[in-house]
Formats: sequence, C-alpha cells, structure tokens
Amino acid sequence: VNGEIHEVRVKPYWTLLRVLRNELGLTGAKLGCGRGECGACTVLMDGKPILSCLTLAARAEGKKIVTIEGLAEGLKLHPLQEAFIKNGAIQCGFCTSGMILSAKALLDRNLNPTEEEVREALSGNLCRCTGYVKPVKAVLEAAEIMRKGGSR
Amino acid sequence: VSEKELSVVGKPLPKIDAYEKAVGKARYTVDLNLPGMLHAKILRSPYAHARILKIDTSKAERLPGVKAVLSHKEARIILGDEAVLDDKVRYVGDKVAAVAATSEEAAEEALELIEVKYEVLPAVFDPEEAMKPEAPIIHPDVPLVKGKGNLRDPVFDYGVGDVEKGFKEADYVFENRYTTQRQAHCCLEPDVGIASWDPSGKLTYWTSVQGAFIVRGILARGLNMPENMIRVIVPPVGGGFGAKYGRLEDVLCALLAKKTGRPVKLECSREEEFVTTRVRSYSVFWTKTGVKKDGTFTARYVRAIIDMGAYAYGIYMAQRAGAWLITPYSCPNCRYEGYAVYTNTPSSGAFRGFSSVPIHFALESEINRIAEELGIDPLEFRMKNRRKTGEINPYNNVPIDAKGFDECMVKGAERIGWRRKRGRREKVEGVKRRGVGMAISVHFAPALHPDMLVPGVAEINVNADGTIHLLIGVTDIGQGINTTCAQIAAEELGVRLEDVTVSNIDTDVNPWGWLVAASSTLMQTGGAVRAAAAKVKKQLFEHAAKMLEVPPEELEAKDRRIYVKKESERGIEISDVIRQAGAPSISPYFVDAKAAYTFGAKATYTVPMYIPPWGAQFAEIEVDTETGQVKVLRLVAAHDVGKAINVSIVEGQIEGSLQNSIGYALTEELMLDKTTGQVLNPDFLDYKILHTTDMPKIDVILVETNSPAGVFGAKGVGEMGHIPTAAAIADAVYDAVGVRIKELPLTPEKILKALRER
Repeated sequence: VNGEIHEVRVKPYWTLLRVLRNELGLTGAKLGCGRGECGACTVLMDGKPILSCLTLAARAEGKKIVTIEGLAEGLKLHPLQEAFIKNGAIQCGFCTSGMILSAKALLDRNLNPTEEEVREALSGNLCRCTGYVKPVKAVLEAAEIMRKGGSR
Repeated sequence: VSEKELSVVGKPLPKIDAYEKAVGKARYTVDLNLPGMLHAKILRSPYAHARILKIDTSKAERLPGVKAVLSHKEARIILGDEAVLDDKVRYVGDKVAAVAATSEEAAEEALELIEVKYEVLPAVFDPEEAMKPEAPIIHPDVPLVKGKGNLRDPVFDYGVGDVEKGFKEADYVFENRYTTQRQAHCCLEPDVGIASWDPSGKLTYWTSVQGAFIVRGILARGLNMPENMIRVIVPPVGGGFGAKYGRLEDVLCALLAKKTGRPVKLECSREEEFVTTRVRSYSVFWTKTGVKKDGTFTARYVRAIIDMGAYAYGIYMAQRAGAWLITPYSCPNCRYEGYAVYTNTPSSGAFRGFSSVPIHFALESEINRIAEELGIDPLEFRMKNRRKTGEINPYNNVPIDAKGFDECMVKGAERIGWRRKRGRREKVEGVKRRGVGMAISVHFAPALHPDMLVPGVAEINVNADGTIHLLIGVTDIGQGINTTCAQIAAEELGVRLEDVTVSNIDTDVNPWGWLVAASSTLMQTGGAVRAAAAKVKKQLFEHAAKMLEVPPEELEAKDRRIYVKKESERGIEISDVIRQAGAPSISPYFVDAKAAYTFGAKATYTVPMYIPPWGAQFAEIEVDTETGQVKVLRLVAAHDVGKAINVSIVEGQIEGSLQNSIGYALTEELMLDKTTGQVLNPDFLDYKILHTTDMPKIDVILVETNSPAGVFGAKGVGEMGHIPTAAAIADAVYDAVGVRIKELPLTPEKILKALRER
C-alpha cells in the first residue's frame, strides 16, 4: 500500500476499505454508501480504480494499492491535487480522494483526455457540492501541466 | 472600502482547508476513533404507525460484545413532539431501540435479537388525506386544528389587500394545482457522532453538523444538563445542505455512552441517511391568480400544504413560504395560507432553499403559464411585474432594493439566446424537440423578517508576530465560510490570507453561533468578522499613530504594514507595532506577553437592512417525444451576489446548487410505498442524483451590485441556484413540446402521458 508492504490478518468478510481505514489508519478513502454506488471509497489496485467498499481485503493480497495518502511525494503534491486546490474543486471534500484517484487512473493511461473522457472517468464518483464543474476543469488543467512536463 | 484597492477580498484564493482535503488528511468525525470506543446501531420501525406493546431486550443484552441496549423504558425523553425513544412509532424507520457493542457486527446482530410486539395502527401517507376528519391522528397531544385531522395549529394566513376584491377586478382568473416531491440531501458523509463522558460528568460530542450550538442545546435539554457541561466539537463536515442541524439520535448516542461508561460512535448507514434525515417536504400548492389583459396582477393567492411527515420540523416551511408569493412581484392583493400537516412518512425539514424551492416551482410555473395565455413573453411579463426599487415589500414593510434583478434577467436571457430561441419549438433529429425556459428566484439572506434574525459573532486574537486567530460560531460544511471569513479579516486588518487561522467549531472555545442556514452566515458572521477586525485595526492604528507621529485617521493597513495614506513609504510593519506596544523585555521568553492582551476584539453583527439576493435562470432542453426523456443542454444562472468575496467559492455554490436542482427537476424523488409508507429507493442506484456525465453545460453569471446591507457589498448566495431551476426546466419543456407538467419531478412517464393527452 503506497509503496509499503503490510501484513494484516483479516476476517474473510472484511473489505479492503475497512482494512485501509481501520487496520492501516488510512482514512482518506471514505465510506459513503457501502454499496459501490458513490465512489468515495475509490483506490487504485494495480493502477486501476476500484471500489474498496466492495472489494474483499483478501483479494488485495500481492496487489499494489495506491490511496490518496500515497499520491504526494513528501510535501510535493501530485499535479491533480494542486489543480483541485487551485481551481476550487474541493468543497466538503468527502468525495475528493476518490475523484482524484479516478482521475489519476485516467491520466496514467491518457494524458490528453477530452472533457467527455474526463467526465466519463469521473462518472462513478458522486459529488453533492460542486456540480462537477471545477473538478472536471481541475483534471483538464492537471493533464495540461503534466503534458508540459510537470511531475508524473 | 473605496479608499483602498482590495487585496484579499474579491480574489479567487484557494480554500484554506483544501490542502488537507486534497491529501486525504482531513479528519472527519467518521475518521475518529477513541480508545475503548463502542459502536451503536438503532433498531428502526418496520411499521408506519404502531404502538409498542412489549419490548424485550434481554436476548440482545446477553449477546457477547453487547454493552448496552436502550428502549423507550429508559429513554422516553420528549423534546417537542418527538421522543428520543417512544412507545409509539410514526413512520417506517422511526427509532425503536438502540444498542452499543464492541463491534458493528455485534451491534447489528443484537438488533435482530430485540423482540418487539407492535399493535399496528391505521396510517396515513398523504397530507390532503391526513387533513380529513376521519384520518388516524398521529399526534393526539399536540395542538391540531379541530375537525381537520392532522393539520397542525396554527394555520399561517397572511398577506396584503383583499384578494376577493382583486379577483373581481381581474380580466382573467387562473387556478392551478402544483405538487413537489420529497428530495433527499445526499450529503456524501452520512450522519455520525461520537459521545464520550469525562469522570467529572462532562460530555464531549464530536459530530458532523451545521449547527454545533444547536446540537449542544438539544443535548442539554435531552440529558437535562447545564450547557457548560457539554462540549460539541465539529471536525470537517462532509456536506450539510440543511440536513445536519442536530437529531435526537445525538441524545441517544450520549445516553449509550453514559450507560456503558465508554465512548460510543453512532454512524448512520446510507439507507438510514435517506430515510431519517428530514427530507425536503412533499408539498401541494393551490394557486389562484387574477390579472388584467395587459398582464398586471390584481390578486394572487396560494394555499400551501406542507407534508411535515412524522414530526414537526417542517412547520417553518409552511410559515415562511408566503414570503416568496409576496416579495418578488408587485400585486396589491396577496394572500397566503400555509398548512403544516402530519403524515406517517419520513419527517421533512430544512434543505437548501428553505421554504423557497417548492413554492417557487409553483409560482414561477404559473407565471410562465399566465404569460403564455395572455400572449406576453414571460421575460417581459416579469420585467413588467417585478418589484421596483423603493417599493414597500408588504411582507416585511421594508423598501425593496431590486438593483440587480433586471440585470440578472437581461444578461441571462442574452446568454441563452432567449429572443432567438423562445417559441420556436425547434425540431432536431425527427422526434426530438428543443425549447428554452426561465424562472427567477429570491431568498432570505440573512432574513426577510426581524423575528428570523440571528446575529453573527466573531472573535479575533492577535499574536505578537501579527498573525491572527479567528473564531466564529458557524460551521464550515464545505461551503467555504472559514476561508471567506479569513479573507474578510485579512482584508480589514491588512494582512495576508495565510496570516489568518480559522479553527473549526469547539463550543468550549468558539463564540456562540446559529445554524449554517438561510444564506445568512456570510451576511451575519462575515459582518461580525469585519467589525471585530475593524476594532483590532483601530487598536493597531492608535499605537502606530504614536510611532509614526500622525493622527490614526491618516493611516491605512495593507500587506502586513501600516502606513500613512498620503505618504505610503512612511510606515511600519504590523508585527513591529505589536512588539513595540509590548513591554520591553530582557528575556526572549516573555516578549509576547503584552501583545496578547493589548490587541484583540470580539464583535456581534446584524445586517442593518433587508436586501435579498435576486436571480434568474434559463434552461435550454431537448425532449425526446418518443421516450419522454428530457435532456438539459445548457443552464444559465445569473445571480446578484452583491460582491463575490471569493469568486471561486461563489461560483462553486451556484454550480453545486444546479446539480442539486436539476436532479430535483428531473430525477430525484424519495418514493414511498403507497400502502406501507416504506421508502422504496434509499440508495444511490434507485435515487438518482446527477453524475458528471449527466450535467449540462453551465454558465454562471455573477452580477455585482455592492449591497449596502452586506459585508464588502456581499449577498448570501448559498441557496439561490437551487430555487428557480425546476420551473425554468418545466417551462423549457413547455416551449419544446407544448405541455406543462405540474408535478415534480419531470419524469419521462409524466411527459409521455401529457403528450398523449394533449
């Protein structure tokens, strides 16, 4: 998880979200519904966005997990984080980590997305505050910065 | 303000809490855990109306891990018309019992072991049915209007002039009936609280709310405790929208913690969130309007029936909604009747656009209809009838300031292409038709009536290095009030935004504050922040004046420096003013001592006059006449925001409101089973809020009129974007296909049915 190896004893029914939050103290991923409908629990597993509230922890064995806490390098933020801050894309912030990770998965495979592709990539992340206007703008801006050689 | 150029206010600065949220380190209530903490679950009623004849918790209590079970036997504490736990249930989902256990699993298992014997009572789910004399009475012990079933006393009845006379003078009288549906807030963070008792008997309660002091009051009354023995702490809040102003579940959580002697966390599931968080009410509006041939109003009447559900939180909607009949348009005769009715359904309560959203749909839709039938363009109709500046608003007997109202309508119309597009009934791709529609909005902010005004309070403490600690009584629920207030303080004091720290609410520390409600926080608390900052600035100027040897009134402060207005190079750093005001000290440990009590201030503030925000919204939509599907192509939202303290935050408020309100117009409805009263769609799959891919193109137009009532000219804008959307979209549907839908939401089924019946 975020470049570290963790050994955790889990019950068979524990979800990855539960292990991340309760066992590893990584509370950036949120429980918004527990049914895979809101996307607040999104993390990356081997680079792909997954719903950690529906993923059994045991399935994560041997996989590479990235959570929001693993995105910045020390104090240096990922361009997506910078762009979300700068563009006012964060209001209550409860959906933010999931949204940023969905966006990262997109930019990792497509650094030049159209607005439609960004909307598609974020379509599983519900937000009640922003109307998605500024988050979409932030992702497009981060993509541009990364194309111009901003880090990662 | 005019004396110097603004350097912090008016700038789209990043929110001060954005960093911790972007890196996933903001600790919400749900992220907190205390040593030894237990988890609580609530048993909820499967019946809409029943008496609990017997409740046996002994099996649940014996389950390993279970530490406490509460039923009405111990917790029949009544506040208003609701009990913490009662021997009667009044809607499907009402609280029956509660369990605290060492794990959530044990708590859940224990719920199934609680044996309850119910006597099922007849139930009523529709407010008009519930007003019939034969309807089952849900609250026999509260004041009800005699012979009117569950109609709560009083009925609100007010207005101006004589509507009967007005109808006689009219050339045409239009009557109609509109209904609006239950809408769920859908905060991404479900309700949550953690209660912990000190050995001294003091309760600390961490919770996700938009009114910390209101929650403290509920806890104090529910637990029969002095308020100083209760401390409410509000970590970052995952959305509010009117949902989070305290619940009797808070008392329940504290009771469980008291009984077990251990901290208890009570987390709502998403399903509970949908069912129990006091939705926007189902409402019925009977309208009657008299007009002259030229479109002049002679009389306007509305009877509003507000479904309060099981408990009376929604009564204020019935009380206030008449403001939106009387305020925006000139009409000599207006009458409003507001009925608040109990039913065996989830309670209704505050929701963004409090009292304003449902009635605006009815009134604005009716205006669009009347304009059309008189052959007058709806925009012209509004321009003709809208209140003019200086006119007395009969709702509050205060002169109207309608600056900005016209500009919103004109600019919005221009942006959508109103004159080119309206009335074209444009065909696209065979079965699809396009149309444009409009509606206006007006709202509180902070109030329209003195009995609703709650002052704002702010306190500023100054550090020796010139940095600031700002304490306010209202909560940042994501809307950015902490940032906005920090900008106001920084501007007034002449420091930078990063010099100001705003702490989240801790009722032991922060000054008292009301709810985040009625678009009032910026107007009231923001005003208090500026007033407190002005006091501190005065203190600083008095000292600086002596140092610079000029009278204080010749000074200005900007960018951490105090200088002489006419000789800006003659100045002194604020930190130096503070240090030099302190007593000279030979020890590096004590240099700050005097600064701490020399500078600092507290202020309360109430707006000097009522100037509401005005807005106009325009929708362009496409109707598929084969499926009845409505697609919103574009939404133009023009709002008089007075002055945007932070453009990015203001736009964000309006953009978010549009997501909420397009959903209200088209897809969102908390549906109840008509025979059992059970909520049918308590999840995000079946209760559809808009996703990224559902959002249309959005144009936000900020009109800045520099309101004399608002801090730095600002108006409250948190709710405005929600108010006109549904009526504008319904009007656009009419423009596209010629049918007017009078029942929200505008589902494909309703549109197809209307098209068939046309």
